[in-house]
Amino acid sequence: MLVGGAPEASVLSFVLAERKALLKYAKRPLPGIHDEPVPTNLLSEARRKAWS
Amino acid sequence: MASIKFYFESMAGTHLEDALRALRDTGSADALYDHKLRSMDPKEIDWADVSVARDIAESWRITYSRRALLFAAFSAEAYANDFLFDEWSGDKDRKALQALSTVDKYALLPGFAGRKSVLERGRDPLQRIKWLFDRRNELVHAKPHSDKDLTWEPENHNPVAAAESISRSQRVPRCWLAELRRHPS
Repeated sequence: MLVGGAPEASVLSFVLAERKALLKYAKRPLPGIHDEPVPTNLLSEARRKAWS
Repeated sequence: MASIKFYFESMAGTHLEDALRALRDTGSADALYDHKLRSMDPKEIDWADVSVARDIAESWRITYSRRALLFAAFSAEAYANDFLFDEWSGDKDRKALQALSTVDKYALLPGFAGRKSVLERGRDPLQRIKWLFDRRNELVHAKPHSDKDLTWEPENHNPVAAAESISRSQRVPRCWLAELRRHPS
């Protein structure tokens, strides 16, 4: 199986998974004043999925 | 006997974490808005204050994006130097190679080290790294511009550009490291 063109479980596949997570976050609109703070580690979820 | 090659991360990882933290701040309300305003009941806040607060938040978003770009560039440079110091031990060789620009290091060092280089200057990720260092250089060597205002440049200093730069900055070094671990010298 290929992950964004990279072989599954390759280093590149992890990097691509993290890139996807970062871009998804970066494209979010400006939050509201009372919105909840974002977790300090942006990549913990992407890393958990990619490395599990 | 098999040899084990350790890799001790230098400032590269620290700069990368700083870049990621700055990117996080571009989209988190606690970093973008005044804490007193956030602690107030929404009904107590005047719409005019909200409007001003959003303008200020947009300004912080640009600032944090600029910060993320700078730390992504610092990280990319540190990773390239880690590779250089890992592959070359002589002081003179290191000094000569350190004089290369970071983009040139990414393009040339794997080949100089006798490894397969898969990076082409006209394509990503090297193209994005070149873009990143153009941004880095105009900020680090700041001078008055007649055609642009670097204090407010959302076209370049935005979260998406920061995310792209961070992901490219870690992509190349991590693939290099994987290659080093597969084929230790």
